[in-house]
Amino acid sequence: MSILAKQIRIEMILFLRNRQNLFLTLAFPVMMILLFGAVFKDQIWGGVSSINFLVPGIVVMSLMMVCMNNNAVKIVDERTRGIYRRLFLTPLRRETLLLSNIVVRYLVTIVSALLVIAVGIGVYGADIEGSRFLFWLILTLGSLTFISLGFFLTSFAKNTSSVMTLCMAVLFAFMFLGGCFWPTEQLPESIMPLCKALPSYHLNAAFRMVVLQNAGGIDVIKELPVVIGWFVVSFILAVKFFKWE
Amino acid sequence: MDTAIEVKDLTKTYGSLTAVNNISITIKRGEIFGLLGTNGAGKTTTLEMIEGLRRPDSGAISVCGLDVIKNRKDVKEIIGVQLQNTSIYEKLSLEELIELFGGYYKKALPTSEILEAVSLSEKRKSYIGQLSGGQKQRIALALALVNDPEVLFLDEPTNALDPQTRRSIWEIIEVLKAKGKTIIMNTHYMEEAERLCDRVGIMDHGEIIALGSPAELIAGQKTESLSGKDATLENVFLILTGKTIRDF
Repeated sequence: MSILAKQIRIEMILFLRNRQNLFLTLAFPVMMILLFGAVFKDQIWGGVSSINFLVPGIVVMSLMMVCMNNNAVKIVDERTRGIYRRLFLTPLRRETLLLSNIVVRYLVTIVSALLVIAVGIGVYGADIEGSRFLFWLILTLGSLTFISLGFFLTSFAKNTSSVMTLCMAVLFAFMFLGGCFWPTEQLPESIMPLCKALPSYHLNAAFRMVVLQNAGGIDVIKELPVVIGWFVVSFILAVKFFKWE
Repeated sequence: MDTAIEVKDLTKTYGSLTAVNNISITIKRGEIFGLLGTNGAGKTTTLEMIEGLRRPDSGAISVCGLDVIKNRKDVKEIIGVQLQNTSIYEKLSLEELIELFGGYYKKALPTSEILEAVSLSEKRKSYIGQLSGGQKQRIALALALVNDPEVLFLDEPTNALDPQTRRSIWEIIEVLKAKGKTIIMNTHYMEEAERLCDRVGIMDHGEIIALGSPAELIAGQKTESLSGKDATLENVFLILTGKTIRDF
């Protein structure tokens, strides 16, 4: 087995042995879909049943929690405890460690999204249709965007509590202004330009186009320039500012 | 070739503070060399520069003939490092951790052999987070041994340990010496340096102010101020570095 494969395996084992990770990235999104599904049961939002609207929104929430919040806290925790310092005394390459972190986050994102969708369909009879390929494509772009943003945010934080606060502030703004839990049409018109500048807004819109309207590739891609912009800028900033030690 | 570590005119400054001031040391293969000094004397900075963790401002360092800065990758393969307060993945078992580290190197010793060497075989299934302070120190030492290194760096290997655990670590170090390893260590315990080290260098304000075997250093001060049971390395150290506390 290559060093990368071994490192991915160990990172996955470490992830699974941490109950806080499991709760935040897997149990919590399921709890949210159960809760919101129950609260807004039988409501119709913009011509669609609320559960069909909520499933993509909670997928976006879980994606942000897995890739940004939970990952950033993990990185800062390992950094402040001096784990990277020790690891890099061995021939382990930085790229290998970085890539193993990204792969684990990506896999957890997919599992978490599938769980939310399964609960939405199984418990509330959500009507999830559309192209699975496009759904996967949007999920992948969103995952890479928030992983990059998370890595960038760790460069501002000296300890885990400060990175937690920072990520939480970003997450809340992105969830509520990005339309994860309700249609953004319900928000004041004056803040719409802000909402439309957020990656979460367009990820939600793109997911809903796929699952609610069975939209095609061209329409979905037209929804994604802002997300791609966030990805590129976060990636560049992460490369420039991220520090292992 | 007889030289394991060659340090020439090494200097490191942090702002206006000169942490290490133009020091040179040559350490022979198979030797245990101790760096002694007050807090802030520059011992850890010196070790970390030789390990390749910090870049010196000037000077040259070679380990087994390899330039530490230019041949960083090759040097990593042949050195083993125990850091002060090594902290590592808490939710891995000892076995998993040693195996993981072994995988990073081109050649590695079998996990069972490593755990045996530090007397932690029975704990192989325990998580790192469940170990006592002394066991964690031994795991830190074990991690330094996975690649069967030629040169070992031990940064205060018995810091804050009880006498029994300290002696068990001394025994491990003596076994390593018998196997021909070159060891460079930092310590605050003069008794430890006297027992283990072939030669010691005493550092103060970033400079090496005395260099020699513990017996030579004691003999050097004997006629002046030390006699009988006062003839210890600890007293030599206090004479050379003064009795003022060096906190800052």
